[in-house]
Amino acid sequence: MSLSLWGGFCLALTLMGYYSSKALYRRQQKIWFAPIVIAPLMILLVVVTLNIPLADYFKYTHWLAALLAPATIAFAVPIYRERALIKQYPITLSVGVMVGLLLGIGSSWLVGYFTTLPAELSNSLMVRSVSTPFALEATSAFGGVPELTAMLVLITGVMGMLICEPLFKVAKIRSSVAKGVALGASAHGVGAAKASEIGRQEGVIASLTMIFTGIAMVIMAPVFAYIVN
Amino acid sequence: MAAKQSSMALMIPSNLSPKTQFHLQRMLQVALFCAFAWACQVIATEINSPLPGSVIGLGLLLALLSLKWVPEQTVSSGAAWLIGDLLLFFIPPVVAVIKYQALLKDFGLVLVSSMLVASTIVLLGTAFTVDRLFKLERKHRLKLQLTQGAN
Repeated sequence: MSLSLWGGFCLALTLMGYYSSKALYRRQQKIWFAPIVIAPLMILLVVVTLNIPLADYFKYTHWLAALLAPATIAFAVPIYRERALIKQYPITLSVGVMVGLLLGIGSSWLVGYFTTLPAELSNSLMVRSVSTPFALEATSAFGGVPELTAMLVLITGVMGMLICEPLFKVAKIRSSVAKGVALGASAHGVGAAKASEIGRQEGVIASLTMIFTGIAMVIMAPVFAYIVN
Repeated sequence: MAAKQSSMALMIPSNLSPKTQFHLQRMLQVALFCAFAWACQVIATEINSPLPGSVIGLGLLLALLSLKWVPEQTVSSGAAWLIGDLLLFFIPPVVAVIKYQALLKDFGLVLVSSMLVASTIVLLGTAFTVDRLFKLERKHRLKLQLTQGAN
């Protein structure tokens, strides 16, 4: 009985935390108020302060995580809608996706190589640059842990959003395609949201890159994992 | 547009306000996405597929859309909701990270600083490559258009 009460509370907490952070962002369009930063922090804070056991937290909220699979399938719609753009720059997009994916995995491998991070962390890092639903599917191939992967993916996204503009300025990256592909490949959904702030074209290209990088990661994860190990 | 509305829309009573109709239709679409995702997962397990059901489903839906067997407007608002609220769906796995509190306390600083370097590599490397390549591909396209125009 008490378990289901806590369970209900946690589902309500998660929904309210998420929707209120979205409402807050509509009023305060500051990067630190972005739902991707505020919502997980707020909910984590409550769960930690009230000392809620994870089993209780997951009692009902695991249904939310179950929606990741239908959301993955839904990515077919933007691909179909933007087919004209894909046909326009097939080489740029596909090479961009591959370069982004290889750099993402390669740079994560370097982190594991040069630091003394424990295996569950360094393995979970490998898929950090692709969108969460794809990352969670691919991480087991590298020996990653789903919970750590979800958090590392989120941090990677927020980082990409924060560092992209000064980097583009210093490196003199001006074309919208380059900005879009780089953001989509390095910072997935958060990068795509940032890219659509820069411009519509950037946003669409970043979303497409994010989706293709994710699909490619899931398909090729066993091969990459074999090479890396 | 109204005439081209999907048969799904017929299931929604037309005496409701347009906003309610939209919400109902969107919920119906999300439910269909869930049923489809479940079916794909069952198939993937059944055939021992190396690919997860969700990626198979993505490919199938893309094929159905391209063949026009599934009209875009029968899935678009449900897809927009699922993609737009993606963050909500992965909050639970992120919260579960408290299992690894001790680990993160010990390695948090190393982790974040090395990820910063790694992300810079990915962002700049990809942007540079695409910037050069894009200029080449655009030039190539323009040349192609010019020669085709001349013939």
